[in-house]
Amino acid sequence: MTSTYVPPSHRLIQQSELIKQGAEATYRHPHLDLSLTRTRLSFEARALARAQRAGVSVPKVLWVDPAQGLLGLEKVEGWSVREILGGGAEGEVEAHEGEEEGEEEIEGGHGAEGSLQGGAVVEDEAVESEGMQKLKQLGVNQEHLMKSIGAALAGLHLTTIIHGDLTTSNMMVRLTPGSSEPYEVVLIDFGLSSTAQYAENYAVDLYVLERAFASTHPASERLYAGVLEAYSHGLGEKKWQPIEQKLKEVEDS
Amino acid sequence: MRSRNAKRKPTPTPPDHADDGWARAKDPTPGVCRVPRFQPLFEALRALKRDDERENHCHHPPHSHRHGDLHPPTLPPSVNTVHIALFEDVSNAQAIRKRLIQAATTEGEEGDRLKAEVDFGFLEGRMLVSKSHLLTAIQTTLLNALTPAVVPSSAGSASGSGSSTPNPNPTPALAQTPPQLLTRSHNIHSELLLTLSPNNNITESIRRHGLSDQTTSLVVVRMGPGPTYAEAQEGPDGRGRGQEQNVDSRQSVWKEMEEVVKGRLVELDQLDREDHPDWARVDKVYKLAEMNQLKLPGLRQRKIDAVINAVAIKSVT
Repeated sequence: MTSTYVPPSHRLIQQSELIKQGAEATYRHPHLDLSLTRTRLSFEARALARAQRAGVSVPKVLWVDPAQGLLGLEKVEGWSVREILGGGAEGEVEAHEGEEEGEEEIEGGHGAEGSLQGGAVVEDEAVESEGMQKLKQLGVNQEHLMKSIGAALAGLHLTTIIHGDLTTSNMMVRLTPGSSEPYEVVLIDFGLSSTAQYAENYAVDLYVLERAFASTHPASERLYAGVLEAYSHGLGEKKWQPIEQKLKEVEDS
Repeated sequence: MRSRNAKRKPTPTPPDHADDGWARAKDPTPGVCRVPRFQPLFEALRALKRDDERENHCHHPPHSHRHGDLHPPTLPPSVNTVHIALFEDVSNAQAIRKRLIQAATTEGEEGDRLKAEVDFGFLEGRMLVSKSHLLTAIQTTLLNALTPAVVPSSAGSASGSGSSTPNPNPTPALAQTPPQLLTRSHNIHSELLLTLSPNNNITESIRRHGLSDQTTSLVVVRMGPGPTYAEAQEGPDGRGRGQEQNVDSRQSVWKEMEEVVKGRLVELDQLDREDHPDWARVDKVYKLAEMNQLKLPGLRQRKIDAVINAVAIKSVT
């Protein structure tokens, strides 16, 4: 998938626009490629519309051009969860970490506190991103964010849509001033989404996310546990149980 | 591309609106908004294509499949200008409807003349939930009407299988389609009603989204000819024949609208007013009852977005 950002001054409808082009596989016969792209594109557009109706926050669809395999989407303003959690380049994270820790020691008094609460807390503070700072100003902490992510995923799965590519980069945080909640989690990139048939499908979706957390973020276990808790709560005991079962099977294998 | 800004007469619009490409309701001709031709959209698409072009030097007419480059003009001159007006307190809805029916049932030259007089899209204003709802519908209608019909039947034929030589025209069925309007209903204006409708029933779309005897809030749309891309670019600062034609068409279209509709012309932004739409009917037509059950903040905006989504994905539903 290629995405092209269209700045506000270059759009018909007053809305920042992102144009998505279906991946073009040159090794396929053009006719086959065309029909595959169309099928995926229309599924993506329909999935977005369906999720939106169910109250899941997703980008608005602005136009669909199936003949050219293009999709016009609303540009979501905000930060990806990955950015917020500071999962940038790994090396960068560690460098910052060292610096900040050093500073704390110089200021004195904080060292003991850091060691008491465990390394994770120090890391969080050390690589605080612009987005996280904004959220903190609004009184939102990481735990709250994880809860919102879990709730958003539960909302999506309740529509029987599975995302197919759940990573922290595919979740955005958008501030919602004037609303009862200070922010919302927006799920993006439904290019690999599909409709679930079995509990296993949902479990795989969650497993992909767990792997994504583990590979990009420190203290991922604690974060992911928070997501899962809110997810199970959002889904309800009855629907959660078979998924929990499958999730264990997937993790054990 | 020259900015459209340069082509417009200076108007007392606020500076933050100055370069958004929209003629405002306060433009010289009162109330009739001229939607810019769709250049910006396709300009962006061309930027997207640039990488492809380097490898693939085939030249297709506009509207061909994405393997080719997109060349201007992308909207044929027959529909590259859209005029929109919103009327409130319309007093002659019944008379307009009669005129429409008469025009449709009269044959011959007289019929053509009557049809030309009412060659507009008449939309029930209370069924539009926001300005972008209307604009999305117009954009989708034009996009769909200009998109060549999908021809999957030819996919099986081995026309492009000889891959030893680069095939200059990978999708012959699509590339040869002339850039004419493909509509399922009578014309591009009734197609707009069909785009607004969540299903494909033409009669129903007219009944729900079109003019009725009770209509007091009426949106009048004309999708029609304008200067070609080349004409619009002509002359120093882009102030060529295109600019004159734009002003001319704005005045003449307004005259035609005025002649048909008895009502008070208001700004298009009135569509964004919270109490403008008839939500009970909108809920029913767009099946939004379930959304009303959602315990979520910003329900109104969510419902507006749901309606816009429904219109935008019309071609794939």
